[in-house]
Amino acid sequence: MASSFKTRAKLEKNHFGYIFIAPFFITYFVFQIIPLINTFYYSLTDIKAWYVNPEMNYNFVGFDMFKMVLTEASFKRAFVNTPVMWIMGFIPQLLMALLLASWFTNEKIRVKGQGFFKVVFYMPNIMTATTIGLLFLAFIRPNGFIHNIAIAIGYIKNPSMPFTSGWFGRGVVAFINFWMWYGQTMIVLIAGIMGINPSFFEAASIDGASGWQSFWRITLPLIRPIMTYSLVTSLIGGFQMFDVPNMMGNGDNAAMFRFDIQTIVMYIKTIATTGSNSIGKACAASVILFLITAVCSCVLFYLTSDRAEAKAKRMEKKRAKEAALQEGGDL
Amino acid sequence: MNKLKRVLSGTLALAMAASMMTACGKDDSSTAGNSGGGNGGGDSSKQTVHVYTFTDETQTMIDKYFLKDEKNKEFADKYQFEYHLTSDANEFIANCEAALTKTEEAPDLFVADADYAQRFAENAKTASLADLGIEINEPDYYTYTLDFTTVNGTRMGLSHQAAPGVVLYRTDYAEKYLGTKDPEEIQSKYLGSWDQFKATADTLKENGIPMISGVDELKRCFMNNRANAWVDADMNYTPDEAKIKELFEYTKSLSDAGEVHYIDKTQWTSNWYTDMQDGVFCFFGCTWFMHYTLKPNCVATKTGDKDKDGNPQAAEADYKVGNGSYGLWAAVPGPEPYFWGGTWWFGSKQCLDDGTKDVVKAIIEYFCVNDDSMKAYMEATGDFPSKKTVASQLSASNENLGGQDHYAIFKESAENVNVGTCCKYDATFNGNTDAALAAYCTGTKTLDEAIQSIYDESKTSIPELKEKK
Repeated sequence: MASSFKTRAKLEKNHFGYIFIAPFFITYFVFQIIPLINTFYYSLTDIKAWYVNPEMNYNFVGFDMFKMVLTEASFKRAFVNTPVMWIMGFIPQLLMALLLASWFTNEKIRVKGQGFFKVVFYMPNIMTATTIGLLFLAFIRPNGFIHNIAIAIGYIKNPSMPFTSGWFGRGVVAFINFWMWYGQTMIVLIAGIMGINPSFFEAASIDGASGWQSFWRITLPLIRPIMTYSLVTSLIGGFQMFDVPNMMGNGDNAAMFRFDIQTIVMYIKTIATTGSNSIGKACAASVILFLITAVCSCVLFYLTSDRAEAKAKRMEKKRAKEAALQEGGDL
Repeated sequence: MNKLKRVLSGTLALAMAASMMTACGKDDSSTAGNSGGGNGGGDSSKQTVHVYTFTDETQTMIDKYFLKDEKNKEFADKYQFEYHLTSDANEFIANCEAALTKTEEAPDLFVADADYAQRFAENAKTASLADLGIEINEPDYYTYTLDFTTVNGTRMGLSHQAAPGVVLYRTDYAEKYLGTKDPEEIQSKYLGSWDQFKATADTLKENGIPMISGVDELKRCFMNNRANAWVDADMNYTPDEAKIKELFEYTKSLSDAGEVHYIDKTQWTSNWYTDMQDGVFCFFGCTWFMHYTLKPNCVATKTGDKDKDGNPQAAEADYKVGNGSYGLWAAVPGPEPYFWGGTWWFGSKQCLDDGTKDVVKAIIEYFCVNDDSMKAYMEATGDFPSKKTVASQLSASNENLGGQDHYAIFKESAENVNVGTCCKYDATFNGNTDAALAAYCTGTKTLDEAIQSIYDESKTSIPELKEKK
C-alpha cells in the first residue's frame, strides 16, 4: 500500500516537469514540425506564395520541381559555392582556434591578460553579420580601401575596374566567416582541453615529452569529440550560409561576383521571393538541401568516430563468440 | 518546506503564464513611434492609416504637403499615418503583397514604382479608381501614366508625376571642353544621337572627364524603347535581343575607352552620389531625379541634420552656386526619349472596409487629380505632373540648372514616351539585365553568355518561363 502511494507521488512530480517543458514542445511542433512536413508536401506541387495566390490553388506535379532544380545551372553553381566557401573558411578557423586554445591552456607559457584576448577574439561574433557584410562591401567597392590597396600594388591596373574574380569574392566571404567564428571555436576547444585530466600532462612531462608531443599525443586525441561537435555544427551552419554573402551580393549591392558567392539558401530565397514566387520549387530545393546536409553529417560522424576503438570492440566480441563456441564444442 | 516549494513553483508558473499573455497584447507604443510627424504622434482616438511605400518621398508628401494644407485639417484631426518603408524592390513587393492579404496592419494606401506597378494593378486586393470613387478626365493625362496601371480596361492606380527622361550635363565642363554651354547647341551637336554622344565622350576623355558614372546609366534609354515585352501572354520568353545587344555593345564601347567612371553598377551606391558633386559629365535623369536625387547630392558641404542612417543632409542654406556642382547643370532631351520610374498610388480593398476610404481618396485626388494642389506640389519641388493641363501652366527658373526652365524640355519628352512593352515580371528581368551588363563590360562574360544569363537567372525565379521560340 505504502509503496504504491510513493509511485503516485513521483508521477505527479514528473507531471509538473511536463508542464514546464510543454511550451517549448508546443512552439516547436507548431512552428517547426508542421512547416517541416509541409515543406515535403509542397515540394511535390507547383504552389505559389499566398500573396500572389490567395486561393491557394496548386497542382501535384510529382518530382518535376526536383528535376527542374537539379538540372538548373544556378543550382549547380550554388551547390558548388556553398561547400567551397565553407571549407575555405573552416580550415583556417579550426587551425587558428586550436593554436590559440593550446596557447591559452599551456601551463608553461601562462599567457597574460587571457580574459582580454578572449573577449577581443570573440568580439566579431557579437556583431551582426549584416553589419560586417556591408562593411566589407564598402571596403572592396571601387574607392574602398581594399580596392585602393589593390590599385597601389598593381593588382588592378584600371582604377575604374572593380574586383571581378569569383575566387576573390568567395575568399572575402570565407575570410569573414573565419574571422567571425574562430573566437567561438576557440572558446569551445579551450573548454575541451580544460576537461582533460592534468595528470596526463604531468606524467608526460616527467617522462620527458616535448610540448609538441604532448599536444599531438594527448590533447588532440582527447578533444576529438569536441572537434567533431565543432565540425558538424559548422558544417550544418555552412550549408545554410546566407547572411554575409546575401548582404554582399544582393539587389543594389550587386558586386561583380554576386553569382559566384550565391549560396543554396540565397538560391532558395531568390526562387521564393522574386519572379513568380514559386514556393513549390523553393520547397523542392529546401528538401534537397536537407538531404545534402543529412548525408554530409552522417559521413562526417562516420569519419570522425574512433574507428580503431570500434574495430577493437568488434574483435573482442568476435573472440568472445569464438570462445563461447569453443567452450560449447568442448562440452 | 514542501509546501513552500509548491507555492514557489505555483507562483513561477503563474508569472510565466502572465508574461506570455502580455506578449500577446498589442503593443501600442511601438506603432505610435512610427507615425507621421505632422499629427502629434500616437493618439489612440485617431484611426491609423497604413501606408506602404518604397520611397521616403511618400511620407514627406503626406506630412509636409497634404496634412499641412488647411483644407485637409479634418483628416489631420481624424487620422494618424503609419509608414512602412522598404526600399529594395524585391523586398517591397514581398512585404506589400503579404500585407495586402492580411487585415491587421494591411495597407490602406500604397505606392509602387514603374518596375512593379503593373503587378500591383493586377493584385486582387487592389481597389480600382471606380471603387474609390475617383473620377478623372482621361484626355488631361499623359496617356502612358494611365495605361501603365490599366487592367482589362479598368483604371487601377494613378500617378502624380510623369517621369520623362532627360540628360543632365555639367555646363562648366561643356563650356571648357566643348566650347558652349547652350542647351540647344549641346542637344543638336553633342548629345542629340548616340554617335554624337560617343564623340563627345571621346573629347571629354582626352581631358580626363569620364562621360557617365556607371555601366547601368544608359539602360533605360535603350530598354524603354524595346520592341516588345520580356514575355508574351503564354509566358514565352520574347526579349528584344537587337536592343539588348545595342545597349551592351554601346556601353562596352564607352567602358573600354575609359569613358565610364566605374565599370560597375553604380546607381544608388555611394560612388554614384559622390559623382554628382564632381567627377562625371552627365547623368541620365528624369523629373524626380532632379529634385530628389541630384539636388541634395550635388552639394559638397551639408549643414543640415542627419538622416536616419546617419548621413548628412543638405539644408536650404547649402543650395547656393559654388557649393559642389550646384547650379552647374543643364538639361537636354538626349539621344532617345525614355521614362524612368514614376510613383503610382493605389488604394486597397482594405480601405473600403475599414473606413479610411475618404482619406485615401482625398490623398490620391490631392496629388493626382486636383489641378491646384498638384500644381502647388510641382512648383514646390520642381517635379513634373502627370496631367497635361497642369504641365501647361508650369514654368520655372531652376537654380540648379542655371536658370533653365526644365518644364519646357519635359513637356516635349513626355509626349513621346511609349510603355506598351512592360510586363509584371519587369523587376526580375531588369535586375538580371543589370548584372549581365556589368559582367559583359568587365569582361567576365562574353556577349552571348551575358545575354543567355538574363534568361537563365530569370528562369530560376520564374519556373513557368518558356524558352524563346
